Amino acid sequence: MSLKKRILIIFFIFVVIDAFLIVLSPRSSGDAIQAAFDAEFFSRPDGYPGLIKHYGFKFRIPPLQMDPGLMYRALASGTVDVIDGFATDGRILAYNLVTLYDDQGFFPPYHAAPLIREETLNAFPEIEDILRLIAERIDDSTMQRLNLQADEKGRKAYNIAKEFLIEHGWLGTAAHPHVSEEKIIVGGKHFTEQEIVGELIAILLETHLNVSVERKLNMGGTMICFNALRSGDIDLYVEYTGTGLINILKRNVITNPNEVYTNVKDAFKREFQLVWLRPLGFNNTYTLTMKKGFAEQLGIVSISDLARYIKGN
Amino acid sequence: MIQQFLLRFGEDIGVHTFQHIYLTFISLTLSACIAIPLGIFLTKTRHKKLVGVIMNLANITQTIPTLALLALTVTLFIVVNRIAGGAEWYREGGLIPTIGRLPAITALVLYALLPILRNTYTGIKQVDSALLEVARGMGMSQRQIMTQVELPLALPFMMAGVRISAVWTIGIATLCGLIGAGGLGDLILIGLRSNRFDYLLAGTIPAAILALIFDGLMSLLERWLTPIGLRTAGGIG
Repeated sequence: MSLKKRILIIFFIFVVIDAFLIVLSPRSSGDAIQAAFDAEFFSRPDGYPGLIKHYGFKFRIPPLQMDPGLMYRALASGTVDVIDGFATDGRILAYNLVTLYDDQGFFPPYHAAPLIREETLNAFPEIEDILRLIAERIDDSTMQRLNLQADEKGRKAYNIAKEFLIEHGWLGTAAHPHVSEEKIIVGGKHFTEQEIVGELIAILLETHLNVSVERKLNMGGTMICFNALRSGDIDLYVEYTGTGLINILKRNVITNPNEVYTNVKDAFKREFQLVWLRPLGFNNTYTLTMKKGFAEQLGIVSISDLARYIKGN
Repeated sequence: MIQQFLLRFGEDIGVHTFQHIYLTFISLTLSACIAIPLGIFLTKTRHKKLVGVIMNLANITQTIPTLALLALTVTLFIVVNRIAGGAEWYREGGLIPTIGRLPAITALVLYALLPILRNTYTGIKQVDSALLEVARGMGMSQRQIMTQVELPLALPFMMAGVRISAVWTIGIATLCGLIGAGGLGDLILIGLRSNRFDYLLAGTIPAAILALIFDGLMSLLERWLTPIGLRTAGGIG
């Protein structure tokens, strides 16, 4: 066979395979709902697998997976129809989105609270008092506002946190650590809110205690932070009560916030020698989020409505 | 245990491997369709400066970290949307999708260009000038020299370029999971985010196997496209 023929054959094969791939790949058709979730939501028991089991529906086209930072814009621009939002995310307001009501109580409450090693707390018992300053003082809308400043205005978490503390007069007056060998390491997961609350705590400790504070924010997902805390790579980070209950303790959903808190507090102390300090106030629950106009057009208010819509199509 | 693993992850692996092949193959084809003609053109053009400029551009693209290139592509698409639709474009939906396959394939194509371009260029340039002299002496036209002497001799090099690009693209495509393009990167990211070793394996093993298969197939093609007179035990590249 001549070389020319061989080249043509190969070119032809490539084109045919491309055509096959394009034809075979699922595409979003007009009516089908296209969902997009972040990586963690796909594997958590209180995430995608549990949700579709609890509400008994299945998306026609498989949900996309993307970085949490990209989901909101993808939703707002109409590339996808549903995402797993966080209740305290400022972009829900900014992008004119709506969160779906969890009418069958699938998601537990996720109140944020500092989670600290017992060892660290024994070494610095003042920490509990210092962090009491912000306990129950940051509600959902305050957190949304802080998050929005970072996500949309591109401000640094450190500046946002410092400004917030100054505004409320919570900033301490401790001089910067001179010779202290001891340091406290503050961790955080990889998203905006964690960076801000991490900075809040780091700045509070820095300005009230004479120790140096190291920041290890943006550390990845829940299990990475939790394991780092257990192994002593970090001293504290902010965890969410529901995440502790479902994702770490692998218990069943409880919907009463206080019950969730006391449950995780007891269990963490007993099993892991970790202490839950007082919650910060806001409940950053997972919610399914849609574009306001689109949800209204389809008459979808709750997750059950969405399930019904998907089944009906 | 393997059976259990496959039972649990079989469907996930299947879906994501398909998406992975989709991303890789389409990027590779597009890349080859751009880089091979461009490479041939560069060996023939009289503007030597142009050669330098284009080669440098391709080189620079290659030096950008893959993750950054992906992020840059997404940002570039957002800028295009903003220019086309104003600052509030995302309320109405943009001109082009800023997440998903389109930006992913764009980044992959850019990345896969250089090896093919460079190998095409050097493949043609390395043809022995004595052979060209002989061809000219035999009265061959420029066109005949191109198609009957230079290209056949350069083909193994070109295919080696495509092969390198293919293996790279398979690796790089794992990052496309970050921007909603799917692929085996999705499984790896779940593993990373939730500290799940099983997910990591479910993403990594198929990606490695895929790279091996592509490498094998491409080297077969490479051999098949080498003129019989040039075939050696080892092949070229």
